[in-house]
Amino acid sequence: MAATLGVVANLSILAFFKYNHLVAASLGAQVGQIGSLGQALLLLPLPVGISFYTFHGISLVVDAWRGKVPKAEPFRPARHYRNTLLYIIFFPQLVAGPIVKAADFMPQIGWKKLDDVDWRTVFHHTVVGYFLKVVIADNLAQQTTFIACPACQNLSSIDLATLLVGYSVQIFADFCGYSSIAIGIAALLGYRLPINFNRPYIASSIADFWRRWHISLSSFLREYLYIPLGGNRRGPVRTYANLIVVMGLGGLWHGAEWSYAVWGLWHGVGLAVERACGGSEPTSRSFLLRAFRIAGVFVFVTLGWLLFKLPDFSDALQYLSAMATNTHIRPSLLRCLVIAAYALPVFAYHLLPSQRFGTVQRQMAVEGLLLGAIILNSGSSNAFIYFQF
Amino acid sequence: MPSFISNFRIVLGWAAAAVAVYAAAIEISRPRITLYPDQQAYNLARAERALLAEGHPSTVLVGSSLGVRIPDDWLPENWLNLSLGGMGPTTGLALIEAGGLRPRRVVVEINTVDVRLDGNLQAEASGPIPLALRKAVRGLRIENRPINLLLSGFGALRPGSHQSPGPGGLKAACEALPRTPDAIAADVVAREVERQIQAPVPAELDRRVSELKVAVEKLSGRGAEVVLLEWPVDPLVAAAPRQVAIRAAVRAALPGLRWLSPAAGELQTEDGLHLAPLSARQVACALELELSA
Repeated sequence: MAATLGVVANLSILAFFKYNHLVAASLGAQVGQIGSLGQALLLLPLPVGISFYTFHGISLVVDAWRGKVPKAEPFRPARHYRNTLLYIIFFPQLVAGPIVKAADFMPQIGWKKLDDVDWRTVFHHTVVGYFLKVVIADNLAQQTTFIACPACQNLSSIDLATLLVGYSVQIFADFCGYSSIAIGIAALLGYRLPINFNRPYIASSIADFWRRWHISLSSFLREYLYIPLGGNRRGPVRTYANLIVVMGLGGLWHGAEWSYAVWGLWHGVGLAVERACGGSEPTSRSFLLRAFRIAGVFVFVTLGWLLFKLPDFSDALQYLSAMATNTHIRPSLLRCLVIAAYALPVFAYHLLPSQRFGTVQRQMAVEGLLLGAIILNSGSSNAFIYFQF
Repeated sequence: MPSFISNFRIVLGWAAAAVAVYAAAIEISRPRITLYPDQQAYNLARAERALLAEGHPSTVLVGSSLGVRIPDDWLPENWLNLSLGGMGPTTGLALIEAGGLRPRRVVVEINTVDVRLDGNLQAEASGPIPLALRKAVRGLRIENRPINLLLSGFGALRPGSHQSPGPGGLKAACEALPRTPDAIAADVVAREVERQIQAPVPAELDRRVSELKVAVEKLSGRGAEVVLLEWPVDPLVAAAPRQVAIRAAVRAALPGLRWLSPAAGELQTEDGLHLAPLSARQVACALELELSA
């Protein structure tokens, strides 16, 4: 009973702050009747990082109820309160994750010594994270401002498709960059955070993509929502329904716009169809077939990102329509070259994982070159895309 | 597990080596940067040029993307074109001030006087690498970023992309320019005219013009000649309420200044506002001719 109340309390706070405008806007005419108190509540600003620390709150309640969170011995209320606060507002990942389960984080709380710091993790994740953010994502952000309608009507099909690929790369570099920096800074403080991305754009199925993209969110949704709903244990129809519901809610978690819910449903339906067709766990060893599947998943995911960039459905449809019809307009080679230049390191990162570089010395050399690129080619600073969530 | 010292030494060592090799290559090759990936990159490079105050330009041109159309090669050597995409002349004037430039003449574009000053550009162009270091090491300059180098190299390979006046010099090239106008789409002009129908809010325009007046008086006080320049635009755009209001406000506030409207035969714009490449070169020639008269 207490655990249920805890989860409901956390979700209520999130719902109140994050979805009040969506509900009010969806109710339309009734907004005028909610009175001055209601209007004042609607004007309250959204607390920074609420989506993330709400999940931390839920994880703490559920993991404590499941007995997975060890109590510090001897138990002191002040220390317990301090540890809880540290878990909820641990600053490196407060604003955009990775989401850490209480059962993984709480046991790490304690005195730290400088000798225990894993400097390899600190340097590797911080340098790679900053490279992805300031060299790739910030520079691509200048290009992807052109993903806007009705201006999209003046661009060629190739430009529009290239821009969308550019946004796909940008959102990866931006979010993976943040997660990587968070992991690096947490390691500097003596804490281990889970990795959040594992080369998602080489996923050969949508299910595989979600095992590689925002891993902490997908594992949270699986553990705290999909499995409690019954997971895949109650027959195929219920499994498909669970997938669609979980992904729809996961989409809505990103933001109080119906476009995010549709984005989640896009993935949910994709997962259900893929499962129904037996494509979730591809077994073929053919290189060509695997490459074809990877390309297919990339196109599916990239089309979905359009709803992140253009939350207005009519804009998104206009963009897709221009992409299909503007074949007669000459593409801008310059734009394609810029996007290709910034996309190249991200695709190389997907195809050449750091383990391939062999020795630690070689890894450090690569990090040095990335640091050089940060010094020589940083873009204009932009807020992280996931800060809005 | 490598310690802090070994991580720091190796990673930083490789970074320093990479930067040093790049800087040396730039110093030796002195590449000519002609293409930028986006408007912001172009603006930052221009702002940096002003802040580094190299070459002590005799004439500085300030304004918006209208002036960006003039290739550097088509302006006399000791001119600095501080026209900035998406901005107005006051941003360029602020950069002249911040960079401590002392030009003999400042040419101020009036078409976009209603656009407010952008202080962020100067702040961003000033950091994070100290200007003094960038002045000494060309490879660290915004202008010489690897992406700009890559694009300019690509541009040089494209046939017909090289627009420099050639060995005969600027004067000969101006005389040799063909008079055939560039092709243009009428619907694009119509869209721009629609945009220009919206006149600026009078109080806002007055504020912008007052800011301009203060900057102009400061420059005049230092002995610089200030010339007002109205870029030629499509006649429909020129007659639209925005341009009419701006023209009237500037004339009223700065009545004694020289006013240039360079005309160079049959000009064409790409969208009603921005000159097409050939017309831009023709106007550059006409502008230089008028100013040297």
